[in-house]
Amino acid sequence: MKQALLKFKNLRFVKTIGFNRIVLILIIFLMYGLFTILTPILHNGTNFVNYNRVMSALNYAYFIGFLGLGVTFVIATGGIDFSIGAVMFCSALISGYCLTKFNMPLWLCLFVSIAVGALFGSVGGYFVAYRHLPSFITSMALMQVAKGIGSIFTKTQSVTWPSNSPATSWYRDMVKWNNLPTGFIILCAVAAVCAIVLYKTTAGRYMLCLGSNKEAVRLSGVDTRKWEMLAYILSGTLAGVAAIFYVGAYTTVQPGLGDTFNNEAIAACVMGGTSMVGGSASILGTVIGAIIVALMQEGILAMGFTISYQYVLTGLIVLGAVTADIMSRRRRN
Amino acid sequence: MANRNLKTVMKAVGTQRLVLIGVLIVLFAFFSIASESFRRYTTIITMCSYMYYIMLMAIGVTFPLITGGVDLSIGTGLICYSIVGSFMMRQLGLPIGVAMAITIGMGILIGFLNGVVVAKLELPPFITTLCTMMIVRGLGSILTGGMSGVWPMAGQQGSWFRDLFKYNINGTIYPVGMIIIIVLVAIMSLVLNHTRVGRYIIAIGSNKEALKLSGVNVVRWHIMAYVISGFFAGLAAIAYAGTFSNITPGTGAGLELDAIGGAIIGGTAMTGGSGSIIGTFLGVCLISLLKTGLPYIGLQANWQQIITGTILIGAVTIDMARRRK
Repeated sequence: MKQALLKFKNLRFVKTIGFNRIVLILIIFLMYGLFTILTPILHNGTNFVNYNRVMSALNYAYFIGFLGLGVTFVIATGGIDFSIGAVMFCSALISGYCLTKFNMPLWLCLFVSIAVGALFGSVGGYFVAYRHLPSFITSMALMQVAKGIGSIFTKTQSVTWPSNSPATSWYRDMVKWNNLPTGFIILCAVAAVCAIVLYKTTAGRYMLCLGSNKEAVRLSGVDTRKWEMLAYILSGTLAGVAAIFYVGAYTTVQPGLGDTFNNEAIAACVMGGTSMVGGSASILGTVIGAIIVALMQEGILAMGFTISYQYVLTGLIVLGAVTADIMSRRRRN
Repeated sequence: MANRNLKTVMKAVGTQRLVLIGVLIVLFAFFSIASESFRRYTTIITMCSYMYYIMLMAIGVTFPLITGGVDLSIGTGLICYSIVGSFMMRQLGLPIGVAMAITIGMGILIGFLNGVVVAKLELPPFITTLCTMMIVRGLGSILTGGMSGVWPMAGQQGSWFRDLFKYNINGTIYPVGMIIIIVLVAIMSLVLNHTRVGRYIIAIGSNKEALKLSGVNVVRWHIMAYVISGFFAGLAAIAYAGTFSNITPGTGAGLELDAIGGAIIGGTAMTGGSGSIIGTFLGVCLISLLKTGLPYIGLQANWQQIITGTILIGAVTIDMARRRK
């Protein structure tokens, strides 16, 4: 048994994908099976197996996935970004307000959304990289700032993006086109770009090195601050992209919310094998993690539980995943 | 001669704290001049209502901050403990004293959990307490079935605990809670500077390895820091219940930042190893003054979020810049 497992672990394709990722994919199927069995029992009469449910879970996976991809870079450098959830809402509110109240063209609003995200990322990155602030406190402070700005900009009113006329709602086709999950293709494409940036470019290599040994990178003459800041900018930018997919799926955004999504994005990262201490990250893992988070949310609601259970479960999962990661690291050393 | 006296005073109080007192006076004067309605006795009462729970959280969180960690679970925690306490009283008919004990007990329990995970398993404190922050956020409504927390109102049976904070004599309200706060500030200041727990907690923040090598049970004292934080979050839950009437489950995210901000403004280092309870007291005074005063000059809750965030970043930036020098 043990030998068979070892043999499986040494297979070529298993090595490229990573054994843990395969386990995660199995977990997705396991969860799906579990929900299929449990939903009719716990929430009598309802059926979990349903195309709409898959689509609804995917809708959730898109924006969590984009948030997760962004924060993967930050976690790779050994930092953390708690602001992404609130920044995503702030982006969606500001760009949506521009669209509905100022009648700006849609393409420009989508650009505004990404720009707002990038701006928040730059501010956070500046303070963390150039002013040496702890990343968690900087991003928590920025989370408050983003919540406040979003509310003030829209005069504490919710913003509803247009959903009916084809001229102003083509952005929704990016999420779902003729009931096909086009968003998934875009998520995979962005993930592929992220993977290339993280593993194959100088920027990405430096970010990973920063996470494992910052001092060594700095002493070898690299401007570590620049690359560290870039990680936060990427995180913010992808939060802006996530905002587009959030409104593409749900159209309405309320001010003052959004701060729970960063936890779920971070959960997706750590489940996917990105190490909280920095230095190792998995883009594929983050995407799979986002799907797990989304499926879990869908399952919890389908079984008739409230969102509170989602909070508790996400907390426990992150705690478990980080503990497992740290334990395995200690064993290796 | 007078100059030397001034210098001794400055040294005893600390430059940063003197600056803080100055800022407090200037801000108070500013609000008083800018708004006529600010110059009222009720403003002080409102300010004290904010101060009670923020101060209690801040005194507690100063300890993990000094060890170089942080406790993010106190904000959603205080709401959760308060809701569970009121549930015990309303639904299970427990006397209010027991309900209060349960409220504090839950705080200690979550604090202990944080401590064990941070000290024993050596997980990063911010991620550990982020997880417990989410867990308690959901836990409150799961345990009570989504009901909001309602503690006895003034005049009802068991409302004596409200008198601990606001004492009503012939229609005039006295903020007697400040006595409790000042006593606790004095006690915790002594604990931090003159007892074994406090000294070891400071030592963990400045040089944990050295402390471990000198044969001290570091894990135990490290856990203690989080237990203190949890205990004070429990106290804050009671203060919150004593000053506000209705507690909605699932809220409370962001309250911890007021407390952490207060502690950092008061001179507690984000990197650990130094901090003072008196400083925290002054820092929280500043935060509460802003919370009370800003609406009077037309800046509502949303502006306060921005200002809290900005102050937090500003305070940590100054602290880091000073320390790097």
